[in-house]
Amino acid sequence: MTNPSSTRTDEDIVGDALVHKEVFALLVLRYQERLARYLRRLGVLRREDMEDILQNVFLKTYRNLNEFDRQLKFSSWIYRITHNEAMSFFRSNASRPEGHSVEDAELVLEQLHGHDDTSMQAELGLNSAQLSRSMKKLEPKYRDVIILRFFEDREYSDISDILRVPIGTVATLLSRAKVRLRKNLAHIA
Amino acid sequence: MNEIPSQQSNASQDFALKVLDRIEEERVVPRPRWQFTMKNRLFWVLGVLSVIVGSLLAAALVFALVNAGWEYREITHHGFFGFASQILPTLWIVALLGALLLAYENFRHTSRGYRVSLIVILGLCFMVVVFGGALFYFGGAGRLIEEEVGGRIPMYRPVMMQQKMMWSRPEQGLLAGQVIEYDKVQSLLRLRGFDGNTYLLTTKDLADDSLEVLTEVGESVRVMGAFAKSTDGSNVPFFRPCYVFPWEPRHSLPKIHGIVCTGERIIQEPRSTDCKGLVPHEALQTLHFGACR
Repeated sequence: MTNPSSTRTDEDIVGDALVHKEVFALLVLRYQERLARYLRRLGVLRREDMEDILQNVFLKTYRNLNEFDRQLKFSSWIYRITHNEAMSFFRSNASRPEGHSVEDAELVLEQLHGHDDTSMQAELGLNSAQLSRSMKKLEPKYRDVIILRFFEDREYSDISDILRVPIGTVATLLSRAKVRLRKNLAHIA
Repeated sequence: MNEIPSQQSNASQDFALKVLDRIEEERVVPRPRWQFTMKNRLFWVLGVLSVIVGSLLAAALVFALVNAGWEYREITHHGFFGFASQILPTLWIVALLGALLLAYENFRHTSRGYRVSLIVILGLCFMVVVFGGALFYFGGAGRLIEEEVGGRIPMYRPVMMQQKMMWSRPEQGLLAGQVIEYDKVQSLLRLRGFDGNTYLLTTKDLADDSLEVLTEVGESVRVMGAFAKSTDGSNVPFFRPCYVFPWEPRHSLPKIHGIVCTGERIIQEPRSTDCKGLVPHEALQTLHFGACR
């Protein structure tokens, strides 16, 4: 038997959560894993930090539920809040990302080098640690778009909504980021 | 908590419960929608206000440029760069850029403003500022801003005040002021200069065509000529006019060939030795033939 909550859209749940706060738990359950993975990719690797940030993200989301613009995707909106929380965390701790979780390294490398060049990773003998090192070398603005596009598999319009930049800027950033990342990877290899 | 699907892992459910507990403990409630609507509208209002202020600044900028005395630059200045550096209304240019930037920042912070690129927002704001600036300029707001606002800003000298200073150098043949008396029979004109002094001018060598229009009592004029000490023993300085131009600032675009002005009767060759020595004579001749109707 399918659970009725799985067929309801995020936007419907937002509407209900404004009336019954318990319903908000559904959004927490839906996004907790995805956002935790996103935070790891952004460089929050300590479990306690991640849990704190995630709790803050959900509290902030709940507090600002009325700000959610129904013409955007809820996922883009909550990703934006998560991104901002992570950046605040790095700023307030005067810390830099501790590294970047790159569990899908092979897939990302394929995308970076184009589908005709799938053996790139093997040829260069690259591994996840090397990709993580290359990512760390990138400027944050390039790292952010790479993570969203290749690790989170978000569309350009979603990235535009998450980072609050025009779509044209997303395309430019992504193109430059790919060039820089390829250079870093080649250098490391 | 019956809304939490049972197939979720215990850890996930625990976390969701923790979040709900914190919401409960910290009494977190969703902020009312009107607060977000107000915030968004505030950005729109500030953006529109910035564009309106930008239009007013553009009108002041145009007024300052149009009335900078381009027609007389060869008389008042030695070179173009000296002239340009003196008349450039840096204040209005900087303020206008600031207003455009402010408009951009406000529009960018509206709910979906980030989707539009900097070039598009700035381009649209610029076009509105140009159009609004033109309307304000022709409506006379440019002069008002330039004089009333500019006049109160330390270190800034409004364009008409600059013009007054440029034309208050009788020793260098430049004089401007208000006509306080005109005796047509004796061809004598009494002028209260913008420097506060009263000057006596003889108009007998000036062509008649536009003289009466220019020398109506109460009108202000610019006079190019030669300064001389009084000869009749009075303390009133004497000024020998060679060319007379109107003073009034414009609210329209400059009409190079429409200036009402007058010069000496014999225009091919200046009759008096006083006027013959005026520098730059060629520029004056050009101005006389080209600009005076």
